[in-house]
Formats: sequence, structure tokens, C-alpha cells
Amino acid sequence: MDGNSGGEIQINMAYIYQMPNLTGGIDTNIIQIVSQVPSFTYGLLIFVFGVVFMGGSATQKSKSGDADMPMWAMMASISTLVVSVLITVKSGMIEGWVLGIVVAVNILSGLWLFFSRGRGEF
Amino acid sequence: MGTIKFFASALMVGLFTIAIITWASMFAADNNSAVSLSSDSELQAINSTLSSTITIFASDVNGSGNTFISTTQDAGDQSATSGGQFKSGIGGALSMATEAARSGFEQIFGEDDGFAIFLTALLSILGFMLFAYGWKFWRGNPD
Repeated sequence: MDGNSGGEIQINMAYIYQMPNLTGGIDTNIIQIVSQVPSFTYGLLIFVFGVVFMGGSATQKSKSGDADMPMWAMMASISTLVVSVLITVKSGMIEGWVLGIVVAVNILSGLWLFFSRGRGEF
Repeated sequence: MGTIKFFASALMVGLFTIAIITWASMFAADNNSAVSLSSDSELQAINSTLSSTITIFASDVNGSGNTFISTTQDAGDQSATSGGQFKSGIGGALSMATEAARSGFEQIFGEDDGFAIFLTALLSILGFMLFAYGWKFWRGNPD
């Protein structure tokens, strides 16, 4: 309440981007968001990778005293790849080169994981 | 990491690369995805290269394994001295790991030689750190 005796004062601010059409379904909303904010997809994938990688390794370190970073990098990469291939079903949400980079990160994470194992462990 | 573990790791890198690329491609084919990994020629090329390498590796190992059980030796023959059964597939396993790593780096950093300046600078810093640690080990703290 603003204390105005005539009632509320409603301030209409201009959006810096066009709002999505909420009646078109979740996939249409996300595609419209990506069209207005292209960095949405990259931010989503980085968020998924970061949550799994940092959350998993921090939790393991707090419980066991040591974090298996290569394993959590691998887990985060696969999680990111799963999200990536799911959003390739409809056009407009992810580009092909982004998917290629996600696969490349998976390959390099696998390289780190498999060459970090000691004797008797895999 | 022992020798067997090293080559097993290289082999696993190749198998994992084939699995990831094939899975992503087949997902797009099965679900008729708008964006498909099949359109990435570089990753498809590395996939077919690794697949052919692992096929050769499998036949080499099978052939070498058969020599343990199917070799016959007549009277007067020279005994085998090469130990060739243990040498097959090593080059294939190493090439699988290096090809997978090269493909991953090219996907992220591109094939342009201009990026080499970054790697040169990084290696220079690492070389300087190595020198500094060596100096510290032999002559004391360089600070």
C-alpha cells in the first residue's frame, strides 16, 4: 500500500524482452525464452554441470574426507549430456555445436577418469 | 599405474568415446530430434575411426590368444622367442586414446592454429614452474 487515499498506485515498467506466451505449453515457453535470451541454454547446462560437480565432490569430501574429482566430473558431464540430448528434440533450444562441445567435455572427462584410476580400481 | 592398467585405461577411453557418440546419435535418430549429433562430421569421423581400430584390436587379440592353444611344435622346431602374444593391440589402444583426446580438444578449442599460442604460453609457465621447483629442491627457496 502506498498510503494514497485514492487507492493503490500501479507502476507499469517496460520489460526489456518480450514475455513468453504461457498458454503454449512449457516447451513453447522455453523456446520463446531462449529466443529472447540466447544464453539461457548455456546457463542451464553450466548450472547442471556445476551443481553435480561441486555438490557431489563437496558432499563426498565432507563425508569421507576426500573428493574423487574425476568421477564427479564424469557424473556431471553425463548429466549435462542427458539434459542436452533431451532438449535437442525440438528446434530452437540448443545448437549442434553446443551438443558437440558437451560430447567433447564428456570425452575429456572420461580421459581424466580412466587415467586417474590406480591399480585395482575402476 | 602399471603397464596393463595404462593400456586398459586407453582402451576404456576409446570404448567410452564410441559409446557416448553412438548413444547421442542414436537418440536423435530414434526420436527424430531437430538437432542431431550425426550432423557433426568431426565426431562421426572419430567414431568410425575408433570403431575400425577396436575391430582390428579385437581380431589381433583373438589371433594372439589362439596361439596359446593352437600352436603345434614338431620335433626339432625352434621354440618361440618373441612373446608376440603380449604385444598385439598396444598401438591400437594408444591411438584410440590420443585420437579421442585430439577430437575433444578440437571440438572445444577449434582446429585453428591460433590457439596454439595459448598452449605455448601455458607450457612456458609450466616449464618455468618446473625449473623453479627444481631450483628450490637443489638450492633452496628461490623467493
